[in-house]
Amino acid sequence: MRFIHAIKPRRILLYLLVLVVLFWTLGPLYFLIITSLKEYVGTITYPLPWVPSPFTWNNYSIMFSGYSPGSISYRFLHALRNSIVASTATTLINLVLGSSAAYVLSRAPIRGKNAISMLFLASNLLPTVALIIPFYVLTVTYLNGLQLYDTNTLLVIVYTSFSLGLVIWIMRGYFDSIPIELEEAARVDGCGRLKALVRIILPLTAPGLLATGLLTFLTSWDNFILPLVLAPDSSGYNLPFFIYSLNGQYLHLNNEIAAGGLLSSIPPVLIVLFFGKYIVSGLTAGSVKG
Amino acid sequence: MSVPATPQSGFPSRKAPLRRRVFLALTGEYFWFYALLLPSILVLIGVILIPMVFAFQMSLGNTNIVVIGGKGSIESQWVGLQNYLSLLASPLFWQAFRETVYFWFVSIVIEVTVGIGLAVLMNQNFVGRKVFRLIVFIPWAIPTVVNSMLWGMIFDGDNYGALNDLLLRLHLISTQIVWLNPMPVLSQVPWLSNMLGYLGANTAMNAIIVGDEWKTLPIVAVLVLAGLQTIPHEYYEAARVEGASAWTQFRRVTLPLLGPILTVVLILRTMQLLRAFTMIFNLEQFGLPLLSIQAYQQAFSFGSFGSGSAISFLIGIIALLIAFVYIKQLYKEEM
Repeated sequence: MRFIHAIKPRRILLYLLVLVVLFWTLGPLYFLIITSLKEYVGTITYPLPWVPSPFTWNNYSIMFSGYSPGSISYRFLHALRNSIVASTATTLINLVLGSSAAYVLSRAPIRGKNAISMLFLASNLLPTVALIIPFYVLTVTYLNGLQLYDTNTLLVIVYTSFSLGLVIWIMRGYFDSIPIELEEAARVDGCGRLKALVRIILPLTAPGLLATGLLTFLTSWDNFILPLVLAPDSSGYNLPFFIYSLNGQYLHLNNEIAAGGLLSSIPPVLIVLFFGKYIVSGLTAGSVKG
Repeated sequence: MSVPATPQSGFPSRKAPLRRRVFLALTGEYFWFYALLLPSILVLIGVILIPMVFAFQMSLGNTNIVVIGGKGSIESQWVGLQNYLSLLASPLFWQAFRETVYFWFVSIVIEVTVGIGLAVLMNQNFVGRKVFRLIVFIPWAIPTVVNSMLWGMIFDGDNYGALNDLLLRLHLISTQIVWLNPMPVLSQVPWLSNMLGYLGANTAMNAIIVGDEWKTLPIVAVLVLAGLQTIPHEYYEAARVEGASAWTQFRRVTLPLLGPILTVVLILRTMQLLRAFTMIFNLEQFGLPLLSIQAYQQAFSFGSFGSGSAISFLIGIIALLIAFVYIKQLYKEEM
């Protein structure tokens, strides 16, 4: 029965389309993977070998070959550390600040809380490009005494401000969906407001916290223009900036770029494969239901 | 008990006397609410509002930044709205404007048509659907810089690009094509080519749109799919009983019910396209002067922070206008 079902022309068309989409999606990825496993000569021979030939693991191993200053391995590991620290710190700060503010904006009877929520959302929608110039100028002039230029700290501050709005907006939706009676019951039982929030309410919003946390992490991990302007020299750069700097003016070491690129793609790809469902539900909950 | 001072939420009522509210603000009840909200407000003011105002202030002058020994100082000469006026009079600005609009328009058209198509495909019943959905989602996770480099390798035209290699093997072209050079499209038809060129079309732009869509189509499709899954099955059954064809079902049931999520996706993508920078900068440097690229170039290559700020500020204003439309839409749905 199933077999007969499968040979209808409509089914054939369906599977053809699936194959086309798979080719479109996996083709470029396959090319990136084989390039990362080639020796340099394999990226500049013509016709291009469509298997990793001459094969080597070298492009990966040079990324982990020690911490001697100036080497590609040093720069990779330094960028990796910066990316991990900045993205994690941004995520944690955002979750704490954002869910606190969202809780207040959901529960407190203050005038203009809708307006405040909208301001936060608008701040998230503002393009990074619109603010890099003032960020740069403020950092090197008025705030010069703080020595923030080219540091990871500066990137954390700026990333935080750019994703805080989204966290607040999405989390407010989650808080709104939790019945207020639940909190009151806890308070009747003698919990303080903060204790009720931490013990009763936050666990219920766990899917929202997960979604917004991962979104913040992905956004910070991906950022390129802020390090390009604010941390381009020697200490504050992150993985995207490292990949960019591999692309020399005269020499394109595509195999090394591919290896570095794939390594830096591993965390976000794993996040999307394992938690994609939460991210999507967070995005739709926050943007559709308000 | 006509006006309870402490309503159900536990917070004192708005109608409570001011003195009582101030008192509560400083003691237990209200204190937490200020303490929890304040840090975020400070971030908003300090890192968004002040820089925005500062950008506007810089845009009103011939602003130079002199950095000596890591310490910078601002030299600014007030010129009023001169920076804005000369922008509006400059052909380069309008070219950037048209290119930005072209980039936005073509991307959005692709996302609506192919994105919905892909979502409908993912919603069909077939063997391996679960794995298929996961695989389709992967490109969205690839960092933008990596995606840029990848498509740079694919579109490479001087030597060893993957696309040229594929097309040469299939005998579809006979010489290498330099995809990432901004060459006119459809040059066989001069008038059409000129018109498209004026609107911002060229091979480099189209190549970048393709590469950008590889990363962004998945998230559009997955969000639309989430919308599709909320449409009750009974609607389709009812339509089928009435004798509606698959196409009619799609037009009369699916599309109208997808409306809200499509609006959201479109506006969010519009915002993202307005900020498109990374891929263009990585593949073309300043070769395709979209607005964002121009703002960066003015400030950081030419050192004219005044006119760079003016472009940034314009981008910010356009973005906030679109954001306003979006937020209004969200609140309309809430009603």
